[in-house]
Amino acid sequence: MSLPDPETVVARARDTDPDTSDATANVAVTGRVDADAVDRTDEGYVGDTAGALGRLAAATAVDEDAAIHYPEPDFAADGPWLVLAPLSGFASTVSAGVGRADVTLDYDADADPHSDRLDALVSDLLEASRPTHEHYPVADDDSGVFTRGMTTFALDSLSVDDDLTATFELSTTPATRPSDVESRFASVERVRAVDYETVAGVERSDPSPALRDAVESAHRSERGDCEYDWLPDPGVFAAIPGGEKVAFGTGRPGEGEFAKTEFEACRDLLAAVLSAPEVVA
Amino acid sequence: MRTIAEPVEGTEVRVTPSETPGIEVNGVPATLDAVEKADVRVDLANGARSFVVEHVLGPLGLRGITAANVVGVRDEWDFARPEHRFCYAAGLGPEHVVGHPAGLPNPALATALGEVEVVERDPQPRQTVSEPVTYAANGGEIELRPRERGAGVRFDVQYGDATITADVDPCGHTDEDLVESVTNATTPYLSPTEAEAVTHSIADLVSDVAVIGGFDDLAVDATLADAYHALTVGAARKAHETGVVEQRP
Repeated sequence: MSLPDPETVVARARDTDPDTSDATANVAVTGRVDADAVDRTDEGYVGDTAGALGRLAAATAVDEDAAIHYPEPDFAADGPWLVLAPLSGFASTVSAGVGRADVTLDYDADADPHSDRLDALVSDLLEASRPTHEHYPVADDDSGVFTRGMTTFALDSLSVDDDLTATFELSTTPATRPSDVESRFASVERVRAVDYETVAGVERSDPSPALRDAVESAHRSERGDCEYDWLPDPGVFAAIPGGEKVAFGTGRPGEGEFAKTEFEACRDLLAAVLSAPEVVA
Repeated sequence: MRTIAEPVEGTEVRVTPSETPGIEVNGVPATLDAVEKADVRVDLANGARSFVVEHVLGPLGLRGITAANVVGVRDEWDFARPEHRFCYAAGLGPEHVVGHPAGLPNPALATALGEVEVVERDPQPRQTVSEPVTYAANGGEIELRPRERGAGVRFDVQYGDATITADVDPCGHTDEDLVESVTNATTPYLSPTEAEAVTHSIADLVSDVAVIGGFDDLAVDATLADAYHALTVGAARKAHETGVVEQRP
């Protein structure tokens, strides 16, 4: 089977009317889809949003009746939700949260004409924001093996006014505490205040045993095992109300390629879940 | 069978005596049939799942314990650990992860098992293979060969450029220095050197081949690569599936 071209994928998804289908479950896809930015090759999809488009293609390719919600989910729809996400073949009921921290430092730009002091302060802030762990090599953990479950900081912006304010976007876990965020920068010279706010909390669904069994059985039959990990950001998974939802899917976050084999695996996983008698909307 | 006279504790686990042969981890028997995952780690499942069991089964095998009940006692999350995230998402508690947080084959448990009285009763037949078994997986190769009754298990292992030879006595009379070095060596993913990784691998081989596979007398030649539990468990499974397991009273 050849891959559908990106425009066809989006058109099929738009044409699906969740309200009129006899679907057994609702299906949504995490992440933005831009069909114009994705090219189809013999090997798969490439380009910005290739993964999200590939997972949407997988949703439109299953024979089982599914209520595909695209582009905007109807959160009032009845029934269980299956969320296709870049989970490398894992399943998930948890998405990491998002926080924001404004770190304010005493800083006089007039007294620092060459910005040497500014560079040093920013360097100190970045050093303090790096993940550390007693046992694991988290500094080089590009694939998130360990850091996906840690409170991590990404510098979002710097502003220099009467003082210096660095704004960090945080990925948070159930263990993230405001006091820990504040103390993270306690050792940095000239820090005057750390203001932390939760943007989106960690989402943990509580699917029924029937839905969980359907997802786990499908993964065992298609992949030999059902392993769980977390979604790296809240996205549509967290926005879906209620606990009757599970995410799964192939591909990795942020990758500009989605192989045909990943498309086929995602399609077959979804089909296996939808064909389970336990999944009834 | 050999069990302990009283409960002992190690990192993340508590081990209690058993009246029947075999080791259970959180109620799941440490047998090939119960292996749910064998690649970068070994998980057992028969209903609820237990994670990284090789870090417990290794020291038990090195100490010659063949009958015991292992229970996870961890009650705090460390979400940097992938297995803890798995449990949190699957609705399980952190006690299901019995692996050591630093990737060690539980040196505290090995020490405790070395100090507790061991009770031996109801002698069980010893197992070997009747003919060599070869197996390959994930870039690694392994051969299991017959060994005379009472000889124990000899491992000749290569990982990268590092090699190790280790004699393990299934009755627990394994060299104390070997037990200490093996149980204080970190898992290959975290090891600073190949020498430490290959030392650690002895605990994994004891877990997978001797304890889960059930072998007492064997010569094991292995060249390990990534995710080598697929190799070690796979070889033990092949031996059982091809009918070459030989029991000797």
